[in-house]
Amino acid sequence: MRKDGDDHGAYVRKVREDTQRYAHDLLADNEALRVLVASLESEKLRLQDQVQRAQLDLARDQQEQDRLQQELRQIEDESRRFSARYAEVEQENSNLANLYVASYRLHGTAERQEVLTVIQEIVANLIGSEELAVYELNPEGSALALIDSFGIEPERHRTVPTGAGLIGGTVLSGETYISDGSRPPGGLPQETDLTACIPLKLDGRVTGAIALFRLLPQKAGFEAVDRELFDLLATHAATAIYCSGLHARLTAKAGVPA
Amino acid sequence: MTQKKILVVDDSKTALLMETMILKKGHYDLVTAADGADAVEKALAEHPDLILMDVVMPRMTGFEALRELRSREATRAIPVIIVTTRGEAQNVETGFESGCTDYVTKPIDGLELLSKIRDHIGN
Repeated sequence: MRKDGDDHGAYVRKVREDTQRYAHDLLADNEALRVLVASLESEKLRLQDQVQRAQLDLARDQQEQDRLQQELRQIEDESRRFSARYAEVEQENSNLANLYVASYRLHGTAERQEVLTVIQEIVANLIGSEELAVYELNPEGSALALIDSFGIEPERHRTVPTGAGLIGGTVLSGETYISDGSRPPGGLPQETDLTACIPLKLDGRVTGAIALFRLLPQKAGFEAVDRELFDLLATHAATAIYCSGLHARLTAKAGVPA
Repeated sequence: MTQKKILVVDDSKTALLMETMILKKGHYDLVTAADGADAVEKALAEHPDLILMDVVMPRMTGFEALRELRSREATRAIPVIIVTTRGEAQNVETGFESGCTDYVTKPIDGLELLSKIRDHIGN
């Protein structure tokens, strides 16, 4: 009987000790978990702070990227403007070179035939037509006489009465005629393909005309530089033709072969 | 660096003056010839890096000169740009059959010509 009581007491003590150990372990685990939670909370706060900073950095970077992209767009615009300006300047240089070449060549000779060849070359190489007629106004001023031609039938263009058709009309008006593609009223049958007619002028007086017919296939139409060349031809070709005539008369008078 | 040499061939003094003015902007060393036969002689003597050649010329046309240049060992590989008055397919085709490298049409566009030359021989 005593033994049973001892066994029971030992059992209760063991259970109590186990329970106490278990409770102790639980408290220890609880404490460890509390520390872990505290550490995780702190880590979470640190990470939140880091995220916030990263977001700020990202926003700053985004702003910087936007600024750089805008700057790049401005630089690209500027570059395009410079390229366009460069092309314009090059075009102006090229136009000036054309005018220089035309002027230089027209005044580089006193020989009439050479002057007429130069006019042909200017029209073919600088303007872009291989069909032209050069006329001189007779002393009475009543008609234009063909003095040179290229790429056309000369017989059809031998003389043009002043005021007749588009070419004759140019002599009266003293203004360059430029076709707009449509056939204007008053044109003669031989003027069907006429694209431009430039009156030759000396001291403001019309002395002849240069008629251009069809343009080269790759030439779509006249450009600004062509109109400047027409103005140059109007005076410089007239002067060159006049001077070459004078030169021929002087050399003939002096008995010197031209 | 040595300047690249270009032989410019045209019987028209006006065209020749215009072409040399354009090419001077490219800082090339220029040699000129007045017709196809002259061009062949100058090409053999001067060894240009490129030839710019008109088509319609007295004595020997541009196409004839081109065939002559292509038949000779010393000039076979020189790039030749022909200057044609008419840009129609037939004319251009004849040019390529004769051995031209490229072509430009009159009136010459300076920027286009310089760009084509740069494509073939650089600056």
